[in-house]
Amino acid sequence: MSKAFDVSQSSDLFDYKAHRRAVMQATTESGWARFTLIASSCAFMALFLLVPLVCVFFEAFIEGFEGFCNALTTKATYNAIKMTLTATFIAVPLNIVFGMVASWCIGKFQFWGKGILISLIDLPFAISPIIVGLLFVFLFGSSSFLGKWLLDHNIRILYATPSIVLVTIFVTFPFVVRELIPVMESQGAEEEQAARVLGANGWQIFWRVTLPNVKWALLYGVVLCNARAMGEFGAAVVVARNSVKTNTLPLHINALYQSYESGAAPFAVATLLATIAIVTLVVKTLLEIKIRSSEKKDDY
Amino acid sequence: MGVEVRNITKSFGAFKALDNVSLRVEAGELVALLGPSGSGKTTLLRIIAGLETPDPGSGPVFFQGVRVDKQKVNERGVGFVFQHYALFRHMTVFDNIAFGMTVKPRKERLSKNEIREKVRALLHMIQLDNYADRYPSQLSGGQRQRVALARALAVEPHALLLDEPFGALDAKVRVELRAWLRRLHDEIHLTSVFVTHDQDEALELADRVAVMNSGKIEQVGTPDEVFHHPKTPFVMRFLGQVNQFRGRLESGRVWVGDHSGLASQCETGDKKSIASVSAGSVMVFVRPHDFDIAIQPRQERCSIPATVVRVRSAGNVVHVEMVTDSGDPLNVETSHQERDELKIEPGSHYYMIPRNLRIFPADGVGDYPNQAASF
Repeated sequence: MSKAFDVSQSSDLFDYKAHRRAVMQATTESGWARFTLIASSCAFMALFLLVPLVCVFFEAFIEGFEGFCNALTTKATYNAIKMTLTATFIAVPLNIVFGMVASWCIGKFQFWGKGILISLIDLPFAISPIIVGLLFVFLFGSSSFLGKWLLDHNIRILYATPSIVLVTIFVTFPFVVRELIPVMESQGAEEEQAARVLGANGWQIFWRVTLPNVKWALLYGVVLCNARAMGEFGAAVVVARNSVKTNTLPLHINALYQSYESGAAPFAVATLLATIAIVTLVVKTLLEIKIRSSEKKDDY
Repeated sequence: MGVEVRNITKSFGAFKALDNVSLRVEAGELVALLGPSGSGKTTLLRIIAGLETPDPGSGPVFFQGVRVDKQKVNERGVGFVFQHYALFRHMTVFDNIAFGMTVKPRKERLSKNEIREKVRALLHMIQLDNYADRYPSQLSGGQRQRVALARALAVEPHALLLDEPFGALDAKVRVELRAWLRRLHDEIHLTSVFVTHDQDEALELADRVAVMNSGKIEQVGTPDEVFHHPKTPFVMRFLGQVNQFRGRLESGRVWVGDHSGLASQCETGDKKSIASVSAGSVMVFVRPHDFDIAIQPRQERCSIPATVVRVRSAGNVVHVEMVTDSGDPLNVETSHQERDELKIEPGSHYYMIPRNLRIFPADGVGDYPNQAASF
């Protein structure tokens, strides 16, 4: 083979940053307008997001550090944390499995009823969580056929752990799928086909080609799904019916707040959720950066 | 024998992508499937690979005499190079090439060191020795193409299948890579089939060319055969420029308008004798470079009177756009020398005498007007 063949370095030393700067300069608004818009959105954010968040932490420590610790170390709080974690640790993995399967079907294949499936996946976004709770009450309540059958066989779903898990799964359902569908769609099925021709079996294709290609989007979906699962209130409050046993963190906070001698306790517990929210936000931002850099690998 | 398919039919809904196609590729041969888009060439390639299933009732597929159409794509042992390469974007060049070797069952798998050695050798072959740690996004189009090729060759396939291998590359790289691939094929002699819509690519690269049109193979032959002795009007039209006239075959003479020549000077599609073409209306084809330009009509030769409209002389040959006295456009190629001798310029009038005149029965030949200005 001769060395005449050297197409290795095609020169695309195009300076994207400089180009973008030039375009920005040509199309941007005046400094004044920019300042007003940015300042007003910052003020809005501070007022509606930052101030309440600071308030939660402030109220939590209003009875001092000891009061804060006392509120967090009660049996009820412990139970609530346990319940929230149980629901989350069941709902999130199930959503990962379901999300991978559904997005894989939707993103890589054409089939009849695809549009309907996508709409169904979005359903939990559209329905108010309270309605979801009521749906489950109707479905499993003693007035329904299913409810009677369950009662006869001594299986408790409603007002017990299973119902909390079920509603959590329901409301968190779309998060993972929604993140994965666009990624799967944009990547197409060619890499999988290439892997197959090279002799890989289905399992190898999944672990070595499909999953690595969507991992950042998957993680992003999981983070959102996790946050939603831990924060679920509306549907849980209907199916839990204020029983101490089925209190999740949000329900527990609500119960503490409603009682007369509340004090710092509800805010102390709320800091747990607030902290999770902040961590979620940070992780989400980091993932977004990661996804953007992996998308750069895509456009070839 | 390398690869053989028999009586393959494939429909997508009402559309028949392949209609009873058979093809035989000898061991070590490089065959091009050439045709316009929608002719079924890629579908045929994918069926050979096992990426598509032919319609029920289709015939078998053989690799080296072994029937493989019941085997799944991952069991067939083919190398497939996708049009857009389909490199694994999250893997380095090294891992891409090694992939096929690492997914083998443990018993058949080479050791880590052996795999590394083999990848190094392949990287050397594709002249990308120092690129093992790059990602596909960091490579140029031609480099990706070569990585895709190395990845396909790494599993030592029975046959190499390439789908529009140069389709996504710019013109210069394409020509270089084409020559490189031909040299590579001469070294490793792997049975190969590639799909292309570019006649130059097919004629330059392939040992044999299968010209496809609307789900059928029109002709299989060496580049010389298909170019100089096309069997069908489609092949005639698809490979290179051609002038087309309505004509008549009558009492041993071919008539184009009012001008006629001896039919015995003509060629027919299948190298059959001219007598086998029944008298009546025929289509007459002449390639632009197959004209003698004369001042006077010639005895017993079909001499078509025409006037020069435009002369384009930038290039190896001179393109002369003409219009016949009956008003049809006519494209002619001639040498610079002849142009100077005859002083060919717009407005001058000549008799165009076809050196090579090919006739096909008129029925079933679509009426494609000569394109006046598109060489």
